Amino acid sequence: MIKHLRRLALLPLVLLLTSCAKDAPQDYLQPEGTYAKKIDTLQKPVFILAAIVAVFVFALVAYAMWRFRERKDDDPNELPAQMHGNTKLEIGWTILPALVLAAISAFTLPVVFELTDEPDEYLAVDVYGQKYWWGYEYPGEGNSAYGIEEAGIRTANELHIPVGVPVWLTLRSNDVIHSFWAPKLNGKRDVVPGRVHTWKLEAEEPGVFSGQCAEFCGTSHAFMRLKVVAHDQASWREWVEQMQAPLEEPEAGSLAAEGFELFAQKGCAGCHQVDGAYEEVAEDAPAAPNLTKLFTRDCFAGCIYDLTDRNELEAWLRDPQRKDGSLMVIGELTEDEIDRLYAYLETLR
Amino acid sequence: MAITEDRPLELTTGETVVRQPLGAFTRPRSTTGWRSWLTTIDHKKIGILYGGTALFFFFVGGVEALLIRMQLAQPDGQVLTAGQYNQVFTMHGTTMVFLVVMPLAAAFANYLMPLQIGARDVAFPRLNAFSYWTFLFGGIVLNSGWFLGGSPDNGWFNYAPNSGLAYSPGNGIDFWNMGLLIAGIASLVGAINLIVTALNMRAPGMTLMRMPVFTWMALVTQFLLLFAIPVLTVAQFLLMFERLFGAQFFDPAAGADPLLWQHLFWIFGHPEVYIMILPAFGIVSEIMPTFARKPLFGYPFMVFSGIAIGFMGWGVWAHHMFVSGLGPVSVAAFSLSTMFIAVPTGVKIFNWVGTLWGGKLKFSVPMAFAIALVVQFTVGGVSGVSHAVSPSDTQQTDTYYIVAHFHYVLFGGALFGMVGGLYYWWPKFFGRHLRDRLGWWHFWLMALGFNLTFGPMHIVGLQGMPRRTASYPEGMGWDFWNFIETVGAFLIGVSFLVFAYNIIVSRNNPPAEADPWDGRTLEWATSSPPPVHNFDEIPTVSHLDDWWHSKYRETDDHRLERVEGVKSYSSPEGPSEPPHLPSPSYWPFVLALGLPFVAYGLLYSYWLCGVGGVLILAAIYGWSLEPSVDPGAHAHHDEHEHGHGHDDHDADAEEPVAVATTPEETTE
Amino acid sequence: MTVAEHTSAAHPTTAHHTSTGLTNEKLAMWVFLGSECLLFGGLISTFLLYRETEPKAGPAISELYDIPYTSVSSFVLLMSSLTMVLAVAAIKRGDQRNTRVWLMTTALLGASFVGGQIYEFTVFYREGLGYTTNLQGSAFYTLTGFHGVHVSLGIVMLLSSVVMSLRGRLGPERSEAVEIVGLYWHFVDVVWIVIFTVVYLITP
Repeated sequence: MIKHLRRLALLPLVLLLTSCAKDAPQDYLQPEGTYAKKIDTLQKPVFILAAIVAVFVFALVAYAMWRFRERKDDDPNELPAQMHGNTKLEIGWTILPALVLAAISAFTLPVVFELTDEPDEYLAVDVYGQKYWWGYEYPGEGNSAYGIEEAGIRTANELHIPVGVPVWLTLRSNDVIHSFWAPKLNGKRDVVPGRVHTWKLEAEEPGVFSGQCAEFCGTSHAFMRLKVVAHDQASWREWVEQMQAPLEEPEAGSLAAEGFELFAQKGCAGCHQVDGAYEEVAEDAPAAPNLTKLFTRDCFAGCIYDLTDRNELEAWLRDPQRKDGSLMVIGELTEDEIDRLYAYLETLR
Repeated sequence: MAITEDRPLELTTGETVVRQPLGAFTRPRSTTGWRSWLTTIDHKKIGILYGGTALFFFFVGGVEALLIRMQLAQPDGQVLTAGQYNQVFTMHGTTMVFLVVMPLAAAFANYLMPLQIGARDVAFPRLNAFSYWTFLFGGIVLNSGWFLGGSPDNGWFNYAPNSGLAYSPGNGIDFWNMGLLIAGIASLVGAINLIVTALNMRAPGMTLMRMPVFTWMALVTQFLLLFAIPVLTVAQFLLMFERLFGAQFFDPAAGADPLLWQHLFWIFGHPEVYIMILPAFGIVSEIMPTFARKPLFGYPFMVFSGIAIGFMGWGVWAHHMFVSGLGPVSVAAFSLSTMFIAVPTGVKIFNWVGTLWGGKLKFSVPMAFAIALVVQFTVGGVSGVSHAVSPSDTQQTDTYYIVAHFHYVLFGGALFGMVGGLYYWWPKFFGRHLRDRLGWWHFWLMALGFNLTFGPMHIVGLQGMPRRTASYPEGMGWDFWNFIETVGAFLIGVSFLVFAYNIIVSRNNPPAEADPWDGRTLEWATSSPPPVHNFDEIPTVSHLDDWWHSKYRETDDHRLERVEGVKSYSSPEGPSEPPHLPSPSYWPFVLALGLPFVAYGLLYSYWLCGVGGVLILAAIYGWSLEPSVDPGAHAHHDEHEHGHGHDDHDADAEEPVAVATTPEETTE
Repeated sequence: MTVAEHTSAAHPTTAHHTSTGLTNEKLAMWVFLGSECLLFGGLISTFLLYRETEPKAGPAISELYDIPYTSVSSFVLLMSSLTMVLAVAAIKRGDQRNTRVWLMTTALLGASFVGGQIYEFTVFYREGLGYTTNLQGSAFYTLTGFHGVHVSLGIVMLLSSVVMSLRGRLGPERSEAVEIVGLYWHFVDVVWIVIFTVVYLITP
C-alpha cells in the first residue's frame, strides 16, 4: 500500500515535467512576448516552491505511514502515546508558511502594477470582441510613428503588430463578456460591455501567436479564436502599406465585377464594410468584420476556417450558420453567385 | 388517513382541547414504509434522505462528466454539438456543487451532529424535514430543463449579460435561477437549525471546546451558509426580476455594470468552496484519530484554523475576478488576502500529519480515503497558491489548470473525504459494514482514475487549453492528455459501479457492533443504528473525546488501559422512561411542494403560482397549529404549541442533569 | 392535570436547559436576522452602485424624493417599534387586553407605513419612474419592495398573535412568542432606518 502511494505521489511531478511540449502554440510555460516572460519569471519559481512543499508533505505522510503502521506482532491492546499537540510546532508551521507567502507577495505586487502600467510610447489598437470573432482598429491618431495614416486601419481575426514595440490595446465588447488572450505574449484581459479595459502586448521576435476568447460567451465560445502576427520592421511597413493601399476596382465585365454588384444585392453590404466601396451599413446591423483587406488574412469566422482554402469560404457562403450562433444570416446563394462573390472577395487585398 | 369531519382530540383527562387543523388529515403515525419517509422528522432518516438523493445526483453529474470527457477525448469532437456541450458542462458543475457535495455534507451534519453532541434530535425537527424536501424540489426544478426545452447553458456561475433574455431567451437560465433559489432556502433554513442545535442542545458538560471536530467544522459551515446564501439570493432575485419583469440590473445598454453579478456571485461563491470542504476536513479529523489510535493532533488549532478559514474566506472573493478589469490596487489586495488564507489550511495539513505521527496506524478503507484527502488536497492547495499570484493567474485563469485545481480540492479533497466518511459511518447508519475487499477496489480505482483524469489537466492548462470549450482543434498539443483524462474518467465511473455493488451486496452482511472501530465520539456510544431516541440516557460529558475516556483509563505508569464493562448509552430494552419525541408530520413536505409550483407558475401560468400559494398558506397554517408532539401518540398531554411554525425542542426529554462533580481530567 | 394547570404561570414552557440560556426559538430568530443583514446588505449595495449611474431614461430618483413625507412615514414605523415594546411588556404582566391593543396598534402603524410607501411609489410612477424605467428605479423598488414585504409578513404575525390572544392561547407563559415577533419587528425597523438614511437622506 505504501509503495503504491509513494509511486502515485511522484506522478504529478512527472506529469508536470513532461509539460514542456514542442508543438503547443498556446503554451505559456514557453513564453515569447515581453509580458508573458515577465509573468513567467514569477510563475516558475512559485511552481518550484509549490512542488517542494507538496513533495515534502507527501514524504512526511509516506514516512509516517511506513514507520507507524500497525505491525502483525503488535500487542493489540497496547495504545500509542496519546499526544495531544505541540504548541511550538503549531506556531512554527503557522509562521513559516506565512513568511514564505509574504515573500511571494513581495515579488508579486510590483509585477501587478508593471503589467497595467501604460508605456511611454506604443502602437494603439482598439480591440472589439463580439460573438464569435475579434475585430481590430488601428486609429490614425497617435500611430503615425508606425506608418498608420489618418484614416486608420480596420481588420479582424488577425492582429498584426510590429516586433519590439509595446502595443496598447483598448478592449471593448459589443455584446457580452469575452476575454482577449494570446498566451505566448501575455495573460488575458476580459472585454466587458459598458466598460473599457486596457492591456498590452509586445513581441520580441517575429512569429504567429495563437490565441482565443477565454471567457465563456455563448454557443460558439470555443470557436472564437485569434492570431497575433508579429512582423519585423520591413515586413511591418509592407503590411501597413498594403492595408492602406486603395483597392483595385474589378475589371468591368469580369466575374469579380459581377460579384461586386452581388455584394450589395445579396445584402452583404448591409453588415460588412469595404472601405472606398461600401461604407454605410444598416443601422441595426450586428457587428461584422470589415472586409476591405480580407484576402490579406489567412483565417476567418473567428479564425476557425482557412481562407487560403477556397472550399472553406465557399462552404461558409453556402451556410454561414454552420458555425452555431453565427449572426450572419443570408439567403440561399446559387453556385454561380458564390463563384462571383468569391471572385470579388479575392480582389480585396 | 383522511377524515372529512372535524374531530376534536380527547385527552385522558376527558378535556377537549385541540381541534384537528383543517379537519382533513390525521397525524401520520407510520414508522415503516414509504409514508414514514415522507413524514419523517427524525434527523437520522433525514440524513439518509439527503445522502441517498445526493448519491443519485452524483450519478447524474457523473454521466454529465463522462459526456464531457467523451466529447473532449479527441480534437474536434463530434459527440455533442456546442449547444449540447454547454448545457452538459453547466449542469455538471451546478449539480456537483449544489446537489452532491452540499447535500452530502448536510447528510453527515444532520445524522451526526445531534449524536455527537449528545442530543436526541436537532432543534427544529419539522423544519429539518422541510429543508430536505425543499432541496429535493430545488434539484428537480434545476434539472427540469432536460425535459422542458433546454437546460441552463451559461456555466455554473451564469455571468451577466449573457444570462439575460437577449442572449438566453429560453427557460434554461430560469430553471437554474429558480432551482437554486429553492435549494438555497433549504440550505439557509438548515443552517439556522444546525446552529441553534449546536449552540443550545449540547449534552451537559459538553463545552464548545469539547465538541468533536466534525461538529465544529459543520458549525462553521452553517455560519458560512447563513451569510453567503442571502448574497446569492439577492443576485438571483435581481436576475429573475430582470428576466421576468424587465427590471434593469445587468443590461449594459441601460448603463448597468455586468460586474455587479460577478461581485455578488463570488461573495457567495468563495465562502461556498469553504462550505464544501470544511465538513470533509471534519470527517478526516474523526477518521484519522480513530485509526491512528491517538487523539487528533492540536485540537484547539484545528478548531481555530477552521474558524479562521471561515472568517478569511470572506476577504478573497475577487481572486475569481483578477482579469475582469478590477484595477491593479484591488487585484493586489485580493492577491495578498488569497495567499494568506493558505496559512490556516496548511496548519490543518500539518496537524493531520501530526495525528499520524507516533500512532499505531491501521489502514482501513476509511483511513485510505482520509489520507488521500490529505495528499490530494495538498496538490490542490499549492496550485491554489500559484493562482494567488495574480500575474500568473492572468495566464492560468479560465484554463484547465484551474479545472485541475478545483477538482483536486473538491473531488480529491471533499468527495474523497466524504466517501471515506460513508465507509466509516456506514455501520452506524445502517447497522452493517460495507465490504472491505470491494471497498479497496473502489478506493484504488477511484484514486487511480481521479489522478489520471485531473493530473494531466494541470499540463494542458499550462499549455493554454481554455476551459468551457466544446472542442479543441488539432495541433495544439492537447490531444494525448485529453485522451488519458477520458480514460481516467471512465475508471472513476467504474469505481463507483463497484461502490454501488458494494452497497447492494452489503445488505446481507452480518449486523455491526455499536462501536466497531473503537471510536472516540458519542455516536459510537449507542447502538448501530441508533434507536430513534438516540440515547436511552443523555450522556454527561466531562472530556473531549468523552466516549474514549469512558473506555480507557490512564494507569499509574501513564499507559491507557481498557475499562471493563462499559455500556453503551442504548440497550435493547430501551430507556426506563420513554422520552418525548416529536411526531412525524406531512406539513414540511406540503410546504416544500408549494415552492416548485410557484417557480413553474412564474414561467408558465400564474394559476400554478396560485396553487403553490395555496399549498404554502395551508402548510404554514397547518404546521403552526399542529403540536410538535402528537397528543394522541402519548398518554399525557404536551402543551408546546407555537403560533409561527417553529418547533419546540422537546426532543430533549431530560431535565438537565447536574454537571458531574468528579474532578475534571485535563484535556491536554 | 388540566390544560389550565399546565399552562399556568408557575410552569414555564421553556423548562428545557439550553447551553446559551436563550430558548431555541429566540436563538433561531437572532440567527435568522443575521442572514437577513446580508440580504438587505446586498440589495442596498446594488442601489448604492446604481445611484451613481446617470439614468439613460426617466428621472434620477433623487429628484423625486419627498423627504418630509417619507420622514413622517418613517416616524410612524419607528413609533410602531415603541408600541411593540409596550405589547411585550403587557403580555409579560398578564394584561391580555392591552397586549391585544398594542399588538393591533403596531400592526396598524405598520400598515400605515406600507400604505404610505405604496402611495409614494404611485407618485414616483406618475412622475416617470417605473420599475423597469432605469437602473435606479429597479434597484429602488426592489430594495424597498423587499422591505415592504418583510413589514407585511410582520403584520401577519402580529395579527395572528392578536387572534391567538383572543382565543385565550397567548398567556404570559407564551410571552416569548411575542418577544420573538418583536425582535423581528425591531429588525425590520432598523433596516428601514438604514434605508432611509442611506437611500433617501444621503444623496450624491
